[in-house]
Amino acid sequence: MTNHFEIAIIGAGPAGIGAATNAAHHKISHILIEKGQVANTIFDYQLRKHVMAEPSKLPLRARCRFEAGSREKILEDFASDLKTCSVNLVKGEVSKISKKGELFEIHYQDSICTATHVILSIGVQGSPRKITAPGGEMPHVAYTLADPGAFTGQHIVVVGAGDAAIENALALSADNTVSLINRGEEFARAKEGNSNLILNAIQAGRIRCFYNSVVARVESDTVTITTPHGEITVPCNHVIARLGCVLPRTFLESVGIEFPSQDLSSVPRVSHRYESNVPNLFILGALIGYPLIKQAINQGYEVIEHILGVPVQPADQPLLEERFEGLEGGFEVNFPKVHANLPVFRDLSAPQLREMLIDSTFHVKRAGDVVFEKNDYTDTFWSVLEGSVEIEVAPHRVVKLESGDFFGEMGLISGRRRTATVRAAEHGALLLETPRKQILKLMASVQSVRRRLDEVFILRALQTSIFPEVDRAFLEALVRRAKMRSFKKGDILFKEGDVGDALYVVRKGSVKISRRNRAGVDVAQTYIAAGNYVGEMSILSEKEMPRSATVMAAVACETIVIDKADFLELLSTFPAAEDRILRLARERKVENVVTNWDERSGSLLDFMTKEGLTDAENVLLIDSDLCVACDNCEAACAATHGGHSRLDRRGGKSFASIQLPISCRHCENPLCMLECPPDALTRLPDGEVIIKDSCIGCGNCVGNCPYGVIHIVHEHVPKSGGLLSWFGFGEVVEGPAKAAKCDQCHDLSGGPACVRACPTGAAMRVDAEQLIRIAQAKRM
Amino acid sequence: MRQETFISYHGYRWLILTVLAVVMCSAVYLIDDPIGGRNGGTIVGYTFGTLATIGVVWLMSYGVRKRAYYSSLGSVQGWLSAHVWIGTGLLVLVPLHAGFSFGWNVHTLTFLLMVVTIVSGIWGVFNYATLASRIESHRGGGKSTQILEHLQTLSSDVKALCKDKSEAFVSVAQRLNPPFTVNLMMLLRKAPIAHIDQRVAGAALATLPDSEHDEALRLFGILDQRCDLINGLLEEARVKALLRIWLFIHVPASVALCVALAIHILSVFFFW
Repeated sequence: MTNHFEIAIIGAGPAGIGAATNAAHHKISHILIEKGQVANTIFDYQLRKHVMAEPSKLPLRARCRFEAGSREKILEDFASDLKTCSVNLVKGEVSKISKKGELFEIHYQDSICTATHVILSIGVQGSPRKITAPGGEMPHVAYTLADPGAFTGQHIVVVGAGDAAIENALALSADNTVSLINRGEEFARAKEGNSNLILNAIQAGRIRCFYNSVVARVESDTVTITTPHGEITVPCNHVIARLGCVLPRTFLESVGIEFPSQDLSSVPRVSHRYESNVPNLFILGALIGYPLIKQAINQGYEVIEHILGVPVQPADQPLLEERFEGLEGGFEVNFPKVHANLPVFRDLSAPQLREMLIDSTFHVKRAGDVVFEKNDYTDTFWSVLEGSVEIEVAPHRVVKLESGDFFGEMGLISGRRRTATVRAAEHGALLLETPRKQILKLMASVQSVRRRLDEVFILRALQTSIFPEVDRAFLEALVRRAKMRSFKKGDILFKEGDVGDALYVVRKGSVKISRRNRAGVDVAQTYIAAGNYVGEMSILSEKEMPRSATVMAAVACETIVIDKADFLELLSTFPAAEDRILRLARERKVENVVTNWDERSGSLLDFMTKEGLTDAENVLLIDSDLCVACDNCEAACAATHGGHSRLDRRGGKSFASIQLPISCRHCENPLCMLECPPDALTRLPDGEVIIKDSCIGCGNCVGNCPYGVIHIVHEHVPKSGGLLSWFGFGEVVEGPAKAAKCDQCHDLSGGPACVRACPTGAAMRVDAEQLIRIAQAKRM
Repeated sequence: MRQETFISYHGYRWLILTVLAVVMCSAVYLIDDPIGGRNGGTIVGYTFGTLATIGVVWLMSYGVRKRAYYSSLGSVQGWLSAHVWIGTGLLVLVPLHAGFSFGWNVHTLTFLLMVVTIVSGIWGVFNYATLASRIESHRGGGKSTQILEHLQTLSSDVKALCKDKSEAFVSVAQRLNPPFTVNLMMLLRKAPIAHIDQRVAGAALATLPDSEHDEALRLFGILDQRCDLINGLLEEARVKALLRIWLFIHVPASVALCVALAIHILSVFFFW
């Protein structure tokens, strides 16, 4: 006989705990199924980590406790609340959920139960992919490695080629005999640093690596490996398999849940009651794009109330209404307007729309008010709810946008400065300003938002800077035919000598142009930033022409590819555009001849590309001819930033007599900003990328920054403050762990402390172009 | 584009101001003809003394400004420039104050301490100007930890080469690769570790069996490389030491100067 429950909750994370404690409180028959630890993600945090309770303004509505504090305190609270509420918690992994009539059938471990409602709160971490070969379930096969120091003198086989596998193999190789099984022929998925370390270890014979190989079978003291040269059996006491995770998406799709797009970061659509397209199946928390603990607990509480038929306003209702304060008609009148007037947001689900609005700001402008200025660094997205605005695309050339249109999408996507000044065109223009992060999230999860933005983005990019002479209808047709192509850093767009077939408009990132000199060596010539095009020279006429240079992505790039035939049609239809493009092409040709193959400036460009400097907005340089190694720069940085220097003078690379200490470059496309749960990383109007106080210390940015400039630190907070602590008497307490990086001392008058404190004038902060000038002057 | 140094800061602004001030003071000194001859006790003498005292106090405050990291009162580079040039100007102003009368007393001691401070400062400026560009690790040369790692690899290479070799080979390796200890004297010389003498190496080669000649040549190569690396490390340490060492005279001398100056002023007021 199978057990029946009113509600089955899968996953005992914050959302599951929120739901289960409320269900237990209402005495509804329920089951909470968890395959591992309660609140697994929090459990995996490092010991005594301080956990934040963001967003701080959002109230907690729950039958369980949760407030900012140590990992241990929170886990203890959760465990005791589950107990006092008498939650029916069952350990086991759910393998299948199927719908039988009105009921759900849930298979977990060796049991089956049925439920009227299912709440999925399994998070996004997924479960580790297992070895499918015979023996994969044996006790000496592990899918995690907590303490490499626990093994000595053992034969260990590590399976996998990602960062986790490499790090485990390296750590284990110190005291054990390690073999590594790599399905491919290189370590392409791993970070560059890890890839170098493992290749060195393999070359030095510290680790034996089997390339293009897979596990054939695992036995109690051996592993048999299928290699390109036949089967090989190696002695083995332990197997550590790091094969990545099976994404929860696969599981969700098996239950019948639909995703709006193929994009891996897209989330399933749910109603305002968190109900998915499968009736009575609810999805909560990170799975639907709410990664923060408090949001998830609240959703758990609300969904139970919904199921019980109790009318409950979402916890964020006061926050949402606050947004509409000061607007004529307030929330009641204006909230429906957003849906009605803004087609770009029409396909948003109710929670998505609410969250977007809570993070957004309404502005009422008078005619002529400036919304933002050209060259500002702001990166928010603007929609016109009522009235109209004017964009100054060129001197004396204005484009008018009406209600329902949006603007500001260029700064949003390319990470560059604003390309034009925007002014309100009439009194009472009602505008909605949305943070970049929100829009990026929506673009990933709602296909129509992405499509609409992409089309308009490409169109406007072409219209404002590339083909201003071409009319809109023609460009629209062109955009529909154009392809988008992304390139990773170091990928080649095209090679010198290839037959020219298309024009590339650089939409994001930058590319490096290089040509072979007489000795046949590729010499970097220049780099082209986002908003320009490359590759026009060899497609200017009908006859086939070779590419005159090699173009390589200097950083990750997105390009719009326009076919030769389309390009030629454009030139013949619009003589003004043809004139300008031909003139520019001639100039570039002359430049190619007179740029006298200067290998030294070429090597400077190579250095800049390698170190990612072409993407730098503001980089700290030290003139080695002047630096006396006094370290006053580091002392100044530490003194003005809670006792931790955000620059490492001794680290970093040098070129000529210019040294690049490890310090933030405030990139044009800051990778650190990509996955910040509380959106604490932000760009200020003057271009500084800073970390706000809402940082939860998760460390995502530390991993995402390719230049190693972000660290997790405990800031020293003087307890008493004032004069006493200045003399070193006051008690200093350690603050919570937070990410720290250079903020260009944006709140100090007089500029960065490191530069101002340099006695010899060796330290300076410059942009990429100034860097080139300084480096070239040094070599003359 | 040449980076501006603390010496040439803002078009030698502080040098020019100092020279102007010194010229003016010298003119006043020459024009002034007090009864009893020029000395520290005349009006001009007292004025110059007061100016010099203010100068010394202000020069000492550089140490505070350098550490006042929140201060936006000029840049530290500008302060250092003024510190250097005004400090040098005192070398003229103070003798003018004293009317060039010196003797075996606390007053002249004060002057001498000031001279020691200023001259050590000039030595520091000289070191800053000539040595900064010789810190190899700043110019793409290896960092000292990398060099130490490299040295360790070379040492294990030597050990590996000596494995299963004749006794003669091992003793040659030991003789040509003696352990050395770093001492202070090494910091005074450039390239203190001598390269292998070709004649010595040639003679050593003759003592080895033919079968070991190839390895012996590899050994000499490694030892030579090791010698270069150690010299590089020592040179870096030497340069960095010279960039610091003057401060161990400059700072204590300046503190002593302040004490002597206080005694000088008190004694003048009380006993004159």
